[in-house]
Amino acid sequence: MRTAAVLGLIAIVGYALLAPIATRRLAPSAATVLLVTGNVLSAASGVFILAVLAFTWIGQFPFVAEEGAWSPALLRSDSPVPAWPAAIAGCLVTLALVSALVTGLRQMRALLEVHRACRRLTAVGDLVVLDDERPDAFSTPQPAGRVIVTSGLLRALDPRQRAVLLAHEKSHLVHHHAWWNLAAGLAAAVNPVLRPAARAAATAVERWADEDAARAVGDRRLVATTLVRVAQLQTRFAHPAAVVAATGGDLEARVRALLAPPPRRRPLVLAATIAVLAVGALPAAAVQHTGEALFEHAERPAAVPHT
Amino acid sequence: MSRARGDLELQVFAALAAGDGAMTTSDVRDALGGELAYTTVMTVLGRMAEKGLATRRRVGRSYEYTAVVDSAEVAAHQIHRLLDARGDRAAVLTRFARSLSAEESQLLVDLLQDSE
Repeated sequence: MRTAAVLGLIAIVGYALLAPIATRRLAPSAATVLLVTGNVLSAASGVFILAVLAFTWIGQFPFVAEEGAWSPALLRSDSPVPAWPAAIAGCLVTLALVSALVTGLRQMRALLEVHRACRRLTAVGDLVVLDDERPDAFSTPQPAGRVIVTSGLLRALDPRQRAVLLAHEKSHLVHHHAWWNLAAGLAAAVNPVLRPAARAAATAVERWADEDAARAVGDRRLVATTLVRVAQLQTRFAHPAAVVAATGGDLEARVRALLAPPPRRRPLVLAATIAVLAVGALPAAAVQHTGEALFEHAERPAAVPHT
Repeated sequence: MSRARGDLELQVFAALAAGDGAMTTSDVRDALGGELAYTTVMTVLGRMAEKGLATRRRVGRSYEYTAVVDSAEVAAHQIHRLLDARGDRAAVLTRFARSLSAEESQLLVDLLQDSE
């Protein structure tokens, strides 16, 4: 079990480091699905492995053992995990769950706030135009998702750039992109090691919408120039302090990708990536198996009735 | 209703909202790149006026349209708070682009120029 647990944790760190690089060459829709699924699964398996480790220690408390009907002494002598690593695992699990809960609650509150704010606005189809000089455009999550664009931004773009903007935001709504981002963010809240992978997922989501927009207007370069134009407009309007804090590090990757030929379908790369992900899940399965065996072995023999 | 028709309405509304003040049907048609038929744009504008998404005013023999753009103060204020917020409030939204540092901006312009 110890080996399986260590291998499992190594697999998670390995995934966190390699996934952003490995999915870079995939079509953005495939990259999004793989990254978000991978992030959620590895966050869950990390919590699971740590929880099993922690329970080898927690299970030795007499009142817990009483409930589970196993012998604390047997468990202590059988357990391959010393007390202190198990206790640390317990602390980490608690931290991860608290962090997930806090992040989840905050995001739910933010979602409600967004919906309340949007409900009062007049929408044409899904489009809401906000009368404001500040150039901005974003979409809110489905159901009842909206594309919100300020009149300042609409005025600053020419008709073809407006078409790019609307097609891009429409893609976010149609493919429920905000939810993919939320799931990746929650996984990163559980396990901070997954933060780069969550950022990679967010970039893949934007790339997905960029590709949809490029297909809609039939011009990849136009999408790239629109991205740069909007970013520059926002910079001109942004608060000096905000410029430093909110640098869109992914914009360069998006522009580069749009200036390159459209991504091809790569079934082999996709299959290989999925296979590696599946192998990464094996240690967690081994931990589950050996953990179960450990507690079964420590189980008290059924009480013999007095004669 | 077909998806294409919904998209058309969206484009027309965006063009109308982008214009400064009232626009005639041909103004809107030009603002859309001039590819659509005059009657198509006229139909969409008429329907938007009926739905209360645009106001129209008779000028000579045709109409001039203005988009009804939300200036509901409270809602606008709320949206701005969402926009300005970093972290979780911003995380529930997908933004088109963010502001850049001067170096990043220059890098992107260089990229575009190199690709020409």
